[in-house]
Amino acid sequence: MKSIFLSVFTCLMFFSTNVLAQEDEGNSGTVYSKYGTGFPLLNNTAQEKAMGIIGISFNDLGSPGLSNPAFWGIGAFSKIAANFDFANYSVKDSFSNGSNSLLKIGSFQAVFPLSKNQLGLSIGLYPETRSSYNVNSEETVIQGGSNINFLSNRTGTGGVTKFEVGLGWKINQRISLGYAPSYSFLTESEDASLTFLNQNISNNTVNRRINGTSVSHRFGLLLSERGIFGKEDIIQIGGTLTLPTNFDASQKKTTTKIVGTESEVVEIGTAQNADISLPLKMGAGISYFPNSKFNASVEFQTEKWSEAEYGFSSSDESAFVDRNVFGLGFQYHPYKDRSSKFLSNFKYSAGVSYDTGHIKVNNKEVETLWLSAGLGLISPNLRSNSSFDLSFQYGFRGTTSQNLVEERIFGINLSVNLTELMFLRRKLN
Amino acid sequence: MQKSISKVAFTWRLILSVLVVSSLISCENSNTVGGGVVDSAGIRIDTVSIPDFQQNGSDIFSGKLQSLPIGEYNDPLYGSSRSIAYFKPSLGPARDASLSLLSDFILKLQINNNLHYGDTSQVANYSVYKVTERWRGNTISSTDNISFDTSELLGSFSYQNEDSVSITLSQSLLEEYAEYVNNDSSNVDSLYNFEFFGIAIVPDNVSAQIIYPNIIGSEFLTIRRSTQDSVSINLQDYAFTLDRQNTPMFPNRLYLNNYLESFYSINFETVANNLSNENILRAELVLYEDADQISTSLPQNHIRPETRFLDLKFASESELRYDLQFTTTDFVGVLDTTDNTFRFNVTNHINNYIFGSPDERELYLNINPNGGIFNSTILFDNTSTAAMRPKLILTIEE
Repeated sequence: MKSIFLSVFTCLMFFSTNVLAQEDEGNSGTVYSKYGTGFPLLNNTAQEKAMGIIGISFNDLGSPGLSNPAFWGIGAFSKIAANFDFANYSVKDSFSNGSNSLLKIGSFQAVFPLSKNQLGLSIGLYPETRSSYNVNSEETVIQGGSNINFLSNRTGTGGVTKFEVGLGWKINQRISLGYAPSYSFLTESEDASLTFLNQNISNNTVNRRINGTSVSHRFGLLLSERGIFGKEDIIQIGGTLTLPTNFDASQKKTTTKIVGTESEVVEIGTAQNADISLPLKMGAGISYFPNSKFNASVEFQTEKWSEAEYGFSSSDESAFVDRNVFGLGFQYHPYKDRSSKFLSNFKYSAGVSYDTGHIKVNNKEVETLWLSAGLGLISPNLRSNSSFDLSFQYGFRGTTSQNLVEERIFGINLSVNLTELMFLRRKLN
Repeated sequence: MQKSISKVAFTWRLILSVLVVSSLISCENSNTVGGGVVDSAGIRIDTVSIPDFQQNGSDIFSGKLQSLPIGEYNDPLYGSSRSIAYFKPSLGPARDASLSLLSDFILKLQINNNLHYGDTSQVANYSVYKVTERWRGNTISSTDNISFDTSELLGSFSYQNEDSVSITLSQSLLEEYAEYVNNDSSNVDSLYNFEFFGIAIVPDNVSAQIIYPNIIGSEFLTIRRSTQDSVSINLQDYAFTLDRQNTPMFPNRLYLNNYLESFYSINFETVANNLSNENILRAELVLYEDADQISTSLPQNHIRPETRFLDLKFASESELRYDLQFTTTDFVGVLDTTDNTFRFNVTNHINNYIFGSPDERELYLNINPNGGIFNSTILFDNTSTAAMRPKLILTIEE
């Protein structure tokens, strides 16, 4: 098992450097991430993604979760998790088709039990929204009876990243609460490039950079009850609340010009300040564990994007609509039988989720349907709950009507979860 | 159990390898999908009127240019021009050969026969006289007057359309020149410079054509009559003067010529100040030539060198004439015959105003003196019809 983890971390280090390299190459995600501060992310773990749920009512003792702070007080293990996402987008619109891909580090989280199975501390770094788009178009402007033909490219990266320190408190066997304040960083960068086929006009790239910081708060609640329909069953009801996050953001545009005889980076226009906000989010879900080998969840989250602000673009702001996410999934744990069969060494997940989208473009909401499945490997060491979780998702987003883009998304998500025993020296072999 | 774990480990390694490889082979397929969702980076075109052009006048340094205009022509559009050329042979090569008085003294002129200015159907007649005052090609100006002695004709020639002409000069000039050539004294060079002033080629009053001898290929020759041995003598100095009459006035037009009788200054500071921090991708000064008036003003068989380039350059006030004539232009406007415009790319100059502080602000619009070939043109000015006025066309990123 140790060799496996070494292999994994070697690969992940390779992934990490590869991520940076690929971003430099301009690999991109969804074109719809151009709006506002980017496409909102759920930050659920790989196994939660595999189940199609958000993670509001579901927890796994072998891995921490970001979705509901109420879970952080449960369990005796220290947990560290890193999530990695790869997505391939097949895109098409009324005129063209193509593909792009995006590989990125998703989130990092560590949960430490301050008081075993009662009070836990979580430290997390994760993206709340992500911009990652790369859109080309061919344009023509008529001037004085002749055409000016040029290629336009807009490449955007960035989004809101949160550094979060929170507490989870298991009040009793039935009730747990959680609170997570966070410091949010807004960093957006867009390069708008013009390449003219007529060499008389200089090619130009304008970099637009938006920065801002804010503090945000979220809360979690978990209600748990055993033995309702059977002796072994457990039912968990979770709820989360994230308060709106308000940024006083600044925007600056720069480009490169020849001034005098030198090439200089100069500021275009004047720096602007504007209000940007992320909306109120509320989520709820129910997970049912009839026995130790099977569980199912159904969850829902609503986000009040219609009340969100994006002061740098009224058209972006007016595109925001309330977002609702529904998830339904189950999980099967044959490994708990301790069978020697190969396929019994994993846990299996499957689910479906539906996202109404947070924007309405050209009078059409950008909806996403995800079909997902996954498997996880638990450490055979009884003193450890370390695990790998791998999920595979296939998503249907958008449409080619209304001048929109239809995306078919194939995603692979990996969560690497390390537990307390990985960090303690054994006193006895 | 251990065997099973090894299989699992192998499975995970396989999965991770697939992930790594897939991430490596996944790449962006450049496409234009998304134009309906993400607005393109765009441009807009603004047209800006430019401030008044300030007319200036001067003359040019007319010595040591590549071509020497000789002749007289009364241009129906631009007025009368009478140009006299001055030549002085060098002393060196003839001294080596010891000049015999039994020789012919000849001036050979290589003519740019595709650059005539005037009536090509008539023969132009020229006379050669002795110059009677000292002049230097490095300092002479086109409006200077250099005296010559018309009482003694040293030679003459007629020209219509030849590639070159050879003018046999008088025996008296040969003898005067030979005094210096055959003089062994140490101060002969100084004496030659201060006492021998060369010849003037003067168009007859009935001439209606200006020709342009090319200095490259033009020379003095002495040919010994007995042996026909010839000695080539370089031109030590050469220049021309220009007498203008009936200089024109063009209402609603900008009038330019390359002997600097009329040129203009222009300043873009006011325009640039209204473009605060705009992202100017191209700033193009467009000037419209009055092609109709230019082309219809010449009688049949009359020709005029075309003006195909205009200069827009910075120049120092103290060295204005020199800078306009001899320094490299900062912006060049090439005639676009499809719409009869001269277009100057002044993008960097405008951006210097917007993002910096230009060291030089005053620009001068003129026709390059072009080695002595006369060029003129007229352009529509700020009082002309709106479509033809000088303008600055700005391509702006937005």
